[in-house]
Amino acid sequence: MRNRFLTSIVSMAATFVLSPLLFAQTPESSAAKTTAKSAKAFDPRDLSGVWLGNYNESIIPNEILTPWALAQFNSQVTERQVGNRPITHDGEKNNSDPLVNSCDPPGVPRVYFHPRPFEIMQIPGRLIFHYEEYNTFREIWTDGRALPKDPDPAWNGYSVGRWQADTLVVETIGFNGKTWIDNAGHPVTESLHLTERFRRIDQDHMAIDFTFEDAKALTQPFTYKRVYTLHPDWEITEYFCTDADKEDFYKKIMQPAGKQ
Amino acid sequence: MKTSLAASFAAVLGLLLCSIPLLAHHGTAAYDYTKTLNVKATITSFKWANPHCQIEFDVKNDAGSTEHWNIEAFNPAMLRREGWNLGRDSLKPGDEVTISLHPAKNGQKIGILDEVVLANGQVLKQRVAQSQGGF
Repeated sequence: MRNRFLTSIVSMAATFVLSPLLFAQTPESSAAKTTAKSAKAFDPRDLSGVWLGNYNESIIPNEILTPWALAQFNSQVTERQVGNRPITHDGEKNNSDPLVNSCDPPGVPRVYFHPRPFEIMQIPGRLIFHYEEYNTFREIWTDGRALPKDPDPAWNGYSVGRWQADTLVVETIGFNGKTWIDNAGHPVTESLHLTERFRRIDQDHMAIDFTFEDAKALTQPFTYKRVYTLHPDWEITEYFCTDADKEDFYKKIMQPAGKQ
Repeated sequence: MKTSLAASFAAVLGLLLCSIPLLAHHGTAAYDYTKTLNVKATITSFKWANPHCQIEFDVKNDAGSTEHWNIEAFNPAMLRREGWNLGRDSLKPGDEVTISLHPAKNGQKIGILDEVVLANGQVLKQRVAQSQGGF
């Protein structure tokens, strides 16, 4: 009895220490943890509210990258250690992460993988998403329109959604290819077709499954799933990226901290 | 009994591991997270702004001379969500506090905040798990 207890402690500790998915949640585990707490009735077609997910470094496994995309990925130089890529000690100027070296928008889907909340507002014919990260707004058209044939390239793409039972299926195309999919540096290209499937699990949790299809970057479609938590007492705070704020932080903190 | 004990242990372990901000979009590779300095400090300025708040302070070192430090903290929204209810008034020039920080690896007087203990004993920290809003 005691040995089994110790074994389960050790294995649980090992799981926490070794698992690269430490900060990810599965829909099943999150739902199970909070079922008792969240037995309140909820409308599964109501996605409104302020939601938060964990930070995540890498979404796409390198094994499914095309040679072009792998070369792009390996050429990035950031302050974070990602695989065997070299790192830079320069926080801004010689850092290839567009979120660090500029005030470029994070774009979709990268805006989801920062641990800053977003608010979903549902109005007739549309959902409006307001992400706290760089004050990003996004519209998802649910008025039955089709995806445009030749959209202008955009940071967040062009999105249409439709309900399939209690899952909102959103398709987005028309990306400008200037952003990263994730914080590790996997590239978004202009040929990315992103499908997001939103499903409210219970009062406090919403699952989003992200499916990536991109002939230029991926050799096969890939789906990444995660769960977001409702924060009913939070408001989205203003967060604009400004050159002056960035420059001040770079001069006072990043540059001195990075001196070799 | 066995399940809840194991669950509590795992939860504590998980919280401890989550408290290390290993991942930040600007990168925190510059800081030594194996070292925590605890210093008695006098605040000289507190910048409550995106992308990160900055706390500047003076410390008397062992030799009796004054060192000037600048450390980063989370952004304002995150600090508020961690309980910094006074916002930009949380720290004022002249405040005598105790600061715990992780210093830059290169020996510069730069670092990242762990927690501040105010003169009245209140603790302002930024060690909550990433699921609570990150940075």
